[in-house]
Amino acid sequence: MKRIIEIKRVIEWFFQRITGVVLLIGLIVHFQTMHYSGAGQISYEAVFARLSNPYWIVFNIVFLLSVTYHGFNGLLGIMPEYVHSHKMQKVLEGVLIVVAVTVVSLGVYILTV
Amino acid sequence: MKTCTFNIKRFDPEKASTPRWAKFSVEMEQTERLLDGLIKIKDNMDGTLTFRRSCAHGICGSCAVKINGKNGLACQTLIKDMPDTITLEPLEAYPVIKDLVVDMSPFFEKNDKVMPYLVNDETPPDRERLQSPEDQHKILQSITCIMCGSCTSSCPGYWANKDYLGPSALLKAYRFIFDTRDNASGERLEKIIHNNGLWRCRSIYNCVEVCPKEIDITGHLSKLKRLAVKKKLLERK
Amino acid sequence: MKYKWHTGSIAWIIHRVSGILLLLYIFLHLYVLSNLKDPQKFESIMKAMDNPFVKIGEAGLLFLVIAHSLNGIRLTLLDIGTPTKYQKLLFRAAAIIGGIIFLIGAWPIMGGGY
Ligand code: HEM
Ligand code: HEM
Ligand code: FES
Repeated sequence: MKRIIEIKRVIEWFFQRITGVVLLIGLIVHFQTMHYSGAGQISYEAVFARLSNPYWIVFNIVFLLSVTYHGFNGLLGIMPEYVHSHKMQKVLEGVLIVVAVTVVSLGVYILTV
Repeated sequence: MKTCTFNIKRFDPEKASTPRWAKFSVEMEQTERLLDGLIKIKDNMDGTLTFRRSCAHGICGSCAVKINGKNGLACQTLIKDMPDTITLEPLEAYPVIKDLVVDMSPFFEKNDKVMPYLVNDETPPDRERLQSPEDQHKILQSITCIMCGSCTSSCPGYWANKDYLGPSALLKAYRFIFDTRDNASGERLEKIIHNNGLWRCRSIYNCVEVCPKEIDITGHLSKLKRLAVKKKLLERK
Repeated sequence: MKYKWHTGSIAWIIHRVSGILLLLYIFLHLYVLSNLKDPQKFESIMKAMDNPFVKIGEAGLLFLVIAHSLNGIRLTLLDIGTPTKYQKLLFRAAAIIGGIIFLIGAWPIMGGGY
């Protein structure tokens, strides 16, 4: 059990950097598409066209997953610096994971329907 | 000669429940050190001023204090490098016992948690266990730590969470993990990769700024992090 | 006396605050996007967003993204073995490059042409 928790800590640190790099690429693409590819990229038609394109769907889902993992993992990592009670830490950890799963589900739902 | 104003945060639990500030004007030579000023105050102005010092040559680590908002050794800080007003406070984040003297036991407790000793069951050779210069080089910097506590006391991660091992204990772990004569590196690594260990280091570099021995503490911790990833994730069968 | 702020602690506080704010933005972002399915609602939101306050907000968002990303690159470079002596140089480089990217990026957001 202790071993698994230790490996989990290593994974958390490692994946924070990996998702960071993925996000860097994702954000460049995202901003390039939204703001710097000429006007009309955020119109209903343009967004809808992207959402029916399998490449964009994959991109959006990978992007969504890495943002959520990175953001919530980051928050989980700094939480013990502000919350000192062990019990409260466990509770908040649970809450944050539930919220993160909700965010991903909502995001996928928005994208695919 | 110049006149220095020593602004010292004083605390005497027998007299008051809160600290107070005391000012002393002291004639100092440019070539003197901060510690000389403290000794002058204690000898000639106020014998109740309490501070730690022992070697006066930057090797015992007793005289670490917060100097103008930055930790350092009083015996290694030259008056010529100081402004006219010098603010001295006890090291942050450790409990204050009196004036500039803090209780270092939390610091040493963290140190004890990383197995700060060489583990090697092989029968020792007639003389010392020899090391190649290359192997020695890996731990050369980390060996020079004098355990003054400046680094851990400067770390925002430690301020926020007193259970964090802190840069000093982690550097000690490095010193033995990367020692080629040590046989317990794996076990020791496991003692520092928990939630109050290595990952609390956010690369803030305050420890490197203050280390009186100019040890690249954060760089060493970063090497430990890479070792943990390598050993625990990438090299697992 | 407050503990002295060194380069690294400034970078750290910027990184932490920007990271948390960006995570909060995701909620707002998904809320706006949840109106995607209804073309009327979508267009009306887009209209509502076409005002100076939202524009300033978007420029602020761009600032956060740039600050966090570039310092994230700095931290990652240091984590993979860049010597400590470069940490301040990397911070300064990030600030300068980030400033330039921000100016170039904020121009079209604020309504300027190319
Ligand atoms: C654009 C590329 C990005 C890169 C390269 C990046 C990189 C990083 C890195 C390396 C850390 C770890 C800091 C540490 O452990 O000291 C981190 C922390 C964090 N990131 Fe990012 N990040 C990026 C984007 C984002 C985004 C879009 C969000 C928001 C969802 C975010 C939210 C956070 C949070 C909340 C933390 C924790 C803050 C802390 O540790 O002080 N990051 N980021
Ligand atoms: C003002 C700047 C931004 C605009 C105008 C914008 C616009 C959009 C639009 C229109 C979509 C729908 C997908 C598509 O059309 O391809 C989208 C999706 C997305 N955006 Fe942004 N975005 C902005 C900034 C950001 C930032 C800063 C982040 C990250 C912190 C982000 C993260 C995402 C994610 C994760 C998705 C996928 C949503 C999902 O899966 O439901 N966006 N964005
Ligand atoms: S008195 Fe020994 S280090 Fe300063």
